Amino acid sequence: MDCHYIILFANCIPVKGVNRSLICDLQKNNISIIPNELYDLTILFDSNSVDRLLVYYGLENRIIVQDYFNFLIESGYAFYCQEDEIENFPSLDIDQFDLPSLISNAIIEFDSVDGDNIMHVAKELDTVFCSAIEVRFTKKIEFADLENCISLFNGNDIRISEVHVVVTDNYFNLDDLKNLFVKNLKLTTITVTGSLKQCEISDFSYGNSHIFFTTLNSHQPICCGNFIPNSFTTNMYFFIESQHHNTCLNRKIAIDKDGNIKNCPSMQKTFGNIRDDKLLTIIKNEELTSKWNISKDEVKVCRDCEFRHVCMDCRAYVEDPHDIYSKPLKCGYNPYTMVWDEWSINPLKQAAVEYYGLQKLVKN
Amino acid sequence: MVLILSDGVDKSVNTVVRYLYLKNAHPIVIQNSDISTIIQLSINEFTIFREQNISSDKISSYWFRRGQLNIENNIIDCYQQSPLINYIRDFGKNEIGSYISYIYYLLEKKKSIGSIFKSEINKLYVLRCAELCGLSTPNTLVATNSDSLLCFGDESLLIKSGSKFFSYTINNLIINSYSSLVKVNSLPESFFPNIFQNYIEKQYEIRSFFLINEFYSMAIFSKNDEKSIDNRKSFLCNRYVPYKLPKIIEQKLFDLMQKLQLNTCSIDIIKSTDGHFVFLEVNPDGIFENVSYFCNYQLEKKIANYLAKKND
Ligand code: SF4
Repeated sequence: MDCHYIILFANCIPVKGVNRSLICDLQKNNISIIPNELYDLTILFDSNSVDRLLVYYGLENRIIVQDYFNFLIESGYAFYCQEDEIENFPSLDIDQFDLPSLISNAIIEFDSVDGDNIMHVAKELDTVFCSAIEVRFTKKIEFADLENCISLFNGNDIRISEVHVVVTDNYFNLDDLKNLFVKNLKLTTITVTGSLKQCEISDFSYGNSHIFFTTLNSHQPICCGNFIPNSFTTNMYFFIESQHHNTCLNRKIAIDKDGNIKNCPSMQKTFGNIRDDKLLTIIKNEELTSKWNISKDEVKVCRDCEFRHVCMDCRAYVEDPHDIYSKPLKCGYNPYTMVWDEWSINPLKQAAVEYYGLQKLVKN
Repeated sequence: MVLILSDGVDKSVNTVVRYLYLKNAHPIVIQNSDISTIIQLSINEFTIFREQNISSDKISSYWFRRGQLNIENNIIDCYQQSPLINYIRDFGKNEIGSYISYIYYLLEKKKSIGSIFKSEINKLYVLRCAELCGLSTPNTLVATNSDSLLCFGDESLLIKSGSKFFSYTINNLIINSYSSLVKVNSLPESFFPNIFQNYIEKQYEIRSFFLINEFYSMAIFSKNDEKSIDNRKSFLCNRYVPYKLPKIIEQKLFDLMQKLQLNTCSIDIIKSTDGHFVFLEVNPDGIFENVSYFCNYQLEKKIANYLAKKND
C-alpha cells in the first residue's frame, strides 16, 4: 500500500491523564481508554510517516506499534493518507466556543404558581436570551397549575426554546402529562419525583420528549453533583466548552423560590433578586461570572485526570470548601491510582461532608 | 435593520437571529407564510408592510436564505372560474411578480448574502463554467438512449436529475432523485432525457460552504462497505471532519464563484482514488448546518457578524 501517514480524524481527540489517556470521539459520542504510550505515539503522527515511526520505536516494539495502528484504524479513529494530504486535514478548532445567549440555562424554583411572577421571570430571562430552563416545584402542585406554568414559558413571544420540569407526584394522570407535550412544543422533559415507581417514558412521538418517574423524594439541591463511573458526557459542545469554561456553571443562573439569583441552587451566595434587579445588570457581577470560566484544567486533581473534558464539574461541593479550585467533593475517582471509590466514606472528605451538612445524605 | 428571507424559521435561522439581536442589529425574518403588502415602490426604494413598515432605507443588510417574498394579491382572492378571470388572474400574478422581483433587486444592492436570482442554477452551465475555470469534472452526457452511452466505455454510470431535487412520498414509500449508479445494459433502449456521468471512485467527498469569500470545507468519509453514491443517504455511518482545500483548488473555485456571481453556496467535490479533485456541483441554497456543526466553524455567528457589521 502506498499510504505513508496515519492521522486521527479531527473529531477523535486524545486527552492525556497522569496514568492513562482517552480518545474522545466527538462525532459518535464515545470514549476509549488508551495507554499513555499510545497517546505519545499519536502526537508524532502529523510529522512522521508510518515507516519512520516503526523505525523510531525499534524492532522490539514493532508489533506493538503496528497493533496500535490497527486498533486506531479498526476503531475508526484514524485513517491512512499521503504526506501531501496532511495539511488538508486541520485539527478541529476547539478553542472557539460561543452561544447566542448571555445565559444559556437557568434553574428556577417555584413553591407556587403565580402567573404574574412567572411572566416576570420569563420576560427577564428573555433579556439575556436564555435558551433552556429547568423549572423545579418545591411543593406539591395541582395539575392545572403545572399546565398553566408550562404554557406561560411556551409562548411564542418568549425566546426560551427548551423547558424541563421537575415536579412532585400528585396523582398525575399519565395521559394528561403526555398531552402537555402536544400543547407545549418547547417542553422537553418532565421529571416526576416521589413517585411509586422508577421509570422512563419516551415512546410517544413528540421530538425528544421524555417523562421520568423517580422514587427520589424531591429534587434537593444537596443531591446534585454526583459523579458516577461511566456517566460521562461525550459530545462536541461539551468538550469544546470544557476547554475554557466550567461545564456546569458556564452561562448558568439559578433563581430560588424567593427570587434570589445564584450560580446554582446548591450554592449559598446570592447576587440580587429577580423581583428588584435586572438580570442584565446581575450578570455583569464578576463574582457570579468568574466561576463560569473555571475549567477542569485549573481544578486540582481534575487537571491530571483523563476524563476532564467529558466530566461535568461541580463547584458547589468541593473537597476543600475554602478553595474554589479544589476537586469536586462527590467524585470518587483517583486519576493517580485509576481507582473509583465511594466518595462519601473517604476519611479525607469527612470535614467537607460536615461543612456542607451532607451527612444525612451520605448515611442513606 | 437586517432583513432575512427564509422559507421557515429553523434552528440555524433562529441562531443567526439571536446573534443579531445580541449585536443590537434588529433582525426581521420574513417567511413563506407571511403575506406582505406594498406601501410604495420607486426606482430607488420601497416600503412594504408586514406587521410593521419595512422600508429599504432602514435595511442595512439582507440575507436570502431560501423561500420567497409573498405580496398580497387581491385578484387571486376571486374564486370564480372563467377563461377571462383566469387570464386576469395570471396577469395579476405576473404584475405582482414583476414588483417583487424589483424589490429583490433593490434588496440585493444592499450588503447581502445569497441571491434569489441564483437559486435555480443550470447544472450543465455550472459544469461548463467549472471546466473553464480549470476544474476537473466528470464526463457528462444528457442521453435519451442506451446506445449513446457506449461512448463512456463503462459498465455502470451515475444517473442524476438535471434540475431541482425531486422527492415524493406515497404509501410510506419515498421516491426521490438521489444520484445513483445504473448498469448501462439494464437500461431500456430509449428513455426520458437524463444526465449521465462516469462514476468516479472516491477516497472521500468534500463539501465546501462558500461564504463571504471564504471556503469552509468538510471531508466526508463514507463507510467502505457501503457503496453510497450520494452521501445524504447514509448520514450516521460517515465521518465528518474539517478540511482545507489546496490553495490552487480554492482559487479555481473562487473564479467559478465569480463567474456564476455567487457570494454563497455549497459545493460538492470528490477526491478520487487517483488523487484528483473532481468538481461535481454547486447548491446555491446549500445547507451549511452540518458543515458548521461538525467542523465547529460557527457559520451562524459568522453570518450574523457580517450582516451586523456597520460599514462595508
Ligand atoms: S471530577 Fe473526578 S472524574 Fe471528573 S475530572 Fe475530576 S477527578 Fe476526573
